[in-house]
Amino acid sequence: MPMSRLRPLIHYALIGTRQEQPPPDIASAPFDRLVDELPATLSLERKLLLLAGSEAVYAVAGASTLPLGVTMAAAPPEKLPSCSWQAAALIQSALQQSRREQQVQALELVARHGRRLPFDLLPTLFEMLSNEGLSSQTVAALRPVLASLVGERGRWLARFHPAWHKVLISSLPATELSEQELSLLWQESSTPERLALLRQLRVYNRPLARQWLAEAWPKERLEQRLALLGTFEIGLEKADEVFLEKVRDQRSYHERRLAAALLVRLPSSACHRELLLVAQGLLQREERSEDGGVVHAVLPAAYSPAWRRFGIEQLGSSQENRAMWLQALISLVPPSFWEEQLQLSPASIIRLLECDWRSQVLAGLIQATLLHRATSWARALLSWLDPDQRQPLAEAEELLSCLEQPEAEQFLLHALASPEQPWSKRWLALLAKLPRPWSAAFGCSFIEYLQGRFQQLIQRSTQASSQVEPWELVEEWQQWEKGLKIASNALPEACFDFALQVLQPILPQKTQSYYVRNNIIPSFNAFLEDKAFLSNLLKELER
Amino acid sequence: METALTPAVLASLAPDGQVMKAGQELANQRHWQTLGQDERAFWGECQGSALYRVCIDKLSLKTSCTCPSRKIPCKHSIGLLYLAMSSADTVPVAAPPEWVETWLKRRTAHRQGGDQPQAAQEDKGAALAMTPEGEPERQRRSQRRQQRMLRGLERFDLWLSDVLRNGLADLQGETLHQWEQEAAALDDAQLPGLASRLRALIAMPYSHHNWPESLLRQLGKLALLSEAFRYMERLEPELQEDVRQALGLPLQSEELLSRGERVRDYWLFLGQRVEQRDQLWQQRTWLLGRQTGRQALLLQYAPAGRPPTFTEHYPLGSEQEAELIFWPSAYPQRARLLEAISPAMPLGSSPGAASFAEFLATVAAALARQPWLERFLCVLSEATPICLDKGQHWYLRDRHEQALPLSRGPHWQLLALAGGHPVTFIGEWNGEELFPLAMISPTGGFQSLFSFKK
Repeated sequence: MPMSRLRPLIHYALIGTRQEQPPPDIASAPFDRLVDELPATLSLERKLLLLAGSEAVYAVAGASTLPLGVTMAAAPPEKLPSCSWQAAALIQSALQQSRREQQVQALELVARHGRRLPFDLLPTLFEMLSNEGLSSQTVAALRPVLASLVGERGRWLARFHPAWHKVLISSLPATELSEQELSLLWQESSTPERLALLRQLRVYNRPLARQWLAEAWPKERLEQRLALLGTFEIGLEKADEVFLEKVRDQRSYHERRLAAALLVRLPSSACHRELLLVAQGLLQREERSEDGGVVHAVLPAAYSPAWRRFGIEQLGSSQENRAMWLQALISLVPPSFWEEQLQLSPASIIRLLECDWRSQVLAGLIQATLLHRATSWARALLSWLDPDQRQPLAEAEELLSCLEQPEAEQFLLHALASPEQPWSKRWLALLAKLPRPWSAAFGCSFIEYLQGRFQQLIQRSTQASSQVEPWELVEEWQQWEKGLKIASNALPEACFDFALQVLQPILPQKTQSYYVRNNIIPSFNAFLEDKAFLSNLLKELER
Repeated sequence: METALTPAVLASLAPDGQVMKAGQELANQRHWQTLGQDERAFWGECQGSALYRVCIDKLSLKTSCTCPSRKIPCKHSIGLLYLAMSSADTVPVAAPPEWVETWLKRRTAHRQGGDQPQAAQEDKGAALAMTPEGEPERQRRSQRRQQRMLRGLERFDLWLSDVLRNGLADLQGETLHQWEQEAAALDDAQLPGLASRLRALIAMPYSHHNWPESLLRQLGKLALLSEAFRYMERLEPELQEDVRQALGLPLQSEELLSRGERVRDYWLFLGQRVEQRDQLWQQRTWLLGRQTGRQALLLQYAPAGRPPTFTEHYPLGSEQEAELIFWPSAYPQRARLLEAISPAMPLGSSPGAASFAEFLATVAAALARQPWLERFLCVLSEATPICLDKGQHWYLRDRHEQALPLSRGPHWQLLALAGGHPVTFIGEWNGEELFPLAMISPTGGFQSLFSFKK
């Protein structure tokens, strides 16, 4: 912009004409003549004001442009179609509210249907994602779909906004980033973002992942180190052994333990060989003609200093400590080792186990099964019932993740089928461990279960005479509510309409219970509202 | 049946986000027992807690629903519009049932009687109903008022000179409080226009780096205005009208109807902005005549302190054959929509000046006729929004690589929609910066950029 004609006057206007008066020739053409023509009686200030007013109009009338030759490459054409404006309107209304889970589900739905967001929603989305207050869970959930949601225009736009750019590059496949962007991310990101990046590198550039981790290692605190170490499970290979062996000498028990747990999964590693030598004879089979025999666990007689490198501490040499060493060793050994050693199936080994340290052995076997993802062992351990109490093993629900999805779902449905089933009481713990996505068949069955259970609970609630719900009933309601919450996030889209048909809004007058009216009904209705919203969105996306 | 309904129109109609969302949910045929439309209206019966009957006049977008909601338009009306917009065949063409006919007849009768409520909203408090009185009485009143105004101006001029004498540098706190008092005195002297202009300046000191210059300009323009009123007889009659209006002397509805200029055209509804001014919300809607090339500014007011609701709804992003009436002026800009002649249609070809040079020339020509014009509609074709220094500076560039600054940003929405490609830009120019209102792109069509956070 050219220099303003008012500039000379501003000085006097700011300090005031009382302090300093402008020279008489301050007006420039064409206003000099006009000012001269003003009546002499007019005050100086009045003249200056009229001059300023004229200059103001003159400036707008004579406004001039600014030559701006900067080159700005335009955004490239899109690869995906935009979702319809109707879908966009639904997404927009979801983004305006603060229900994060609904937002995530809606956005995932758009991406799953091969659509991107329309351009006008991009600033809102980026703004939401670069908001410091947003939970890392939400960011993590959206990371895989962000690049396709924002499309080419989003990538182009983010270049102009540093915070958005960071959000975007932390979501892009690392293969699409320049070296500079990669190292920017690695240097400047938060821990969850760095971990996400490292996990990606473990897939396509493990040497770089190892190099970065080795460089960062001395600077990190224990918690971060453990998280970084955890990424080794992706694409674990022989070349990782050198670094992991070094970690086995660290001072922290947790680090040693995690490094050993990784190395024992590499059959060619020295650690694996060492472990199998140590494990020899820890479980022994004793053949007996009358009942098929028993399996004994043998407590290690003494602590070997070499075990330190497995992450096993000596502490003392009491029976309890020896049992702890036993459990720690068993938890590392691939369970298939025992099948070979004892020439028994997993189910038989568990059944025949007979010793004072059975619970420690079983706990160790559960950990080992999870570590080595041994399906047959998971199946056997999940089905095993304590002979005295007829109860499933504590902490065994974790093992559900070692089963294939259909089998895991069947297992859960079986548990839900009747209150007589041994897992029936722990259905919620199992449900929480069921891997996602759920199959549509399971989703629908689960909705039916929720509805049946709901009817029973309502019936029992109405029978309860007072407004105060009996404690056991509240506990059951709480379980039900948690189940509903899990379903809300895990239910596949194919079940939305079914859920809306089966579950009907509850009328508060149906119950006297304060608890049900103020906790259950609102969360139930929110669930329905959520599903109705997603079902609408789905229809718009499929249109 | 083709309709000019767009998401932008719907968003501007809905009184708040809640109604919009509820309307979206009702936009499903299963909620509706009957649905229909003809060339004049949409109608439908929606099953809520009772069966509600909804009618929408296509010409004026006025809605009617039998539900008890106080929010107008209600969620049922928005739902029906949403349905009509979703696809052409959801709302079938049919003969209107009797209840629709009755309503339409009432509408027509109402239209012929003139839209009084709008006039009331347009002339905030100024439109005191004229009581029948004799000519001598009227003249006496007018003289009395003239005297009062002159006395008010005299006082104001002295004060203005004092402001300059004392300097602008320490305009804060207590000093600015005096500005408030001065504005109140102007109101008392029946100079509400001047009072409003003065109040608008109170927020200016230290608001941005260039404030002393902006403030000095505005004070200067106020001085020019009072000077013009004192020597009114030297001005041409049309410019006298402008001075009177700028000071806040209202033009009565009858006067407007008898003296205003009527212009019939295909009017393009290009942009809308809502701003708080004094104790009121002001809504500005910008129109461009396809044949006459004239720009028109429709104003509506609503009380501040709650979300604004305006009586008239305009089909933003559409064009409509209509008759406007312009306030008498040396450069008529402010207008009222007198009569819609046909339902709104989607925007045809994109309008717009080819370059900033061309646009600025029209501004200069307008100012030469009416120097107190505050804002201009800027429609520029092949314009590219430019973002510099990571969102610190924003410009609009024309095809000749000449640029004007956009209003203090950010303008991410505009940037996202344009994507570095040339588009038709629609905005308000205040002589210093461009405030984006909407844009038209070859792929995305019309998109509104200003949305009032309801």
